[in-house]
Amino acid sequence: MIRPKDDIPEEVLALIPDFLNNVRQDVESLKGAAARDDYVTLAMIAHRLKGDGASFFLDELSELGKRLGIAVKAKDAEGIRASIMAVSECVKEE
Amino acid sequence: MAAGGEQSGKKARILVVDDDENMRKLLSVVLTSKGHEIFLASGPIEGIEAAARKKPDLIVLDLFMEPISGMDVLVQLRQVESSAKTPVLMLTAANTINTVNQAFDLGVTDYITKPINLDRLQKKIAELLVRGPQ
Repeated sequence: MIRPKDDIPEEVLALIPDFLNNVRQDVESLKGAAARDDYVTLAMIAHRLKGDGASFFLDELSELGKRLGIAVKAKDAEGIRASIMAVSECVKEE
Repeated sequence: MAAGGEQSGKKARILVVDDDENMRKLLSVVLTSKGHEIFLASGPIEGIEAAARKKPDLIVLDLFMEPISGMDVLVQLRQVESSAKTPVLMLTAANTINTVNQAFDLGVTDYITKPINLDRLQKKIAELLVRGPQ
């Protein structure tokens, strides 16, 4: 499972479990949006993952959000699927 | 107004307007830890209403929201006497000259780009609170 950077402030660290729960819900929304070819929803969530991931000191998640955004922009179905799977793996509970 | 947050030992009243629940929580925890009193609005309409009701010392406003953007919220805030001069710090992922210029033309006080660097955010907020109403 993903680990935040070492220099994360304590008050932010305490928010990580809730944040990851929200991302797990986002994964379900992403799967639904991908099945519907709903690129607006996919792009919105990808954008949020990229920004929130970095703000929560989770650079790996931010990078996956960025990659998903690129795949969505290109309407690359395989890239979208792979990125969603990667996000899902990244936030999987231990 | 209550200036300075941690610097003055007094609480500032800060309204955070962001439709992203994760960001609201993050900003709330971080700014509360600095001694500020935080009000949260989960969308643009709620933000406009909260600004009128709470009369905060400072507003942190996200740019990308639905159904109206942070720019539209800013325009409405500036048209109301109680928030016409309230410092507004805009959060934006779009660090482009056009976006920033448009925000300043519409009366934003300062901006910070996402992902948020918490140290920079706190420094900007402290500066805006010291500066006071614009």
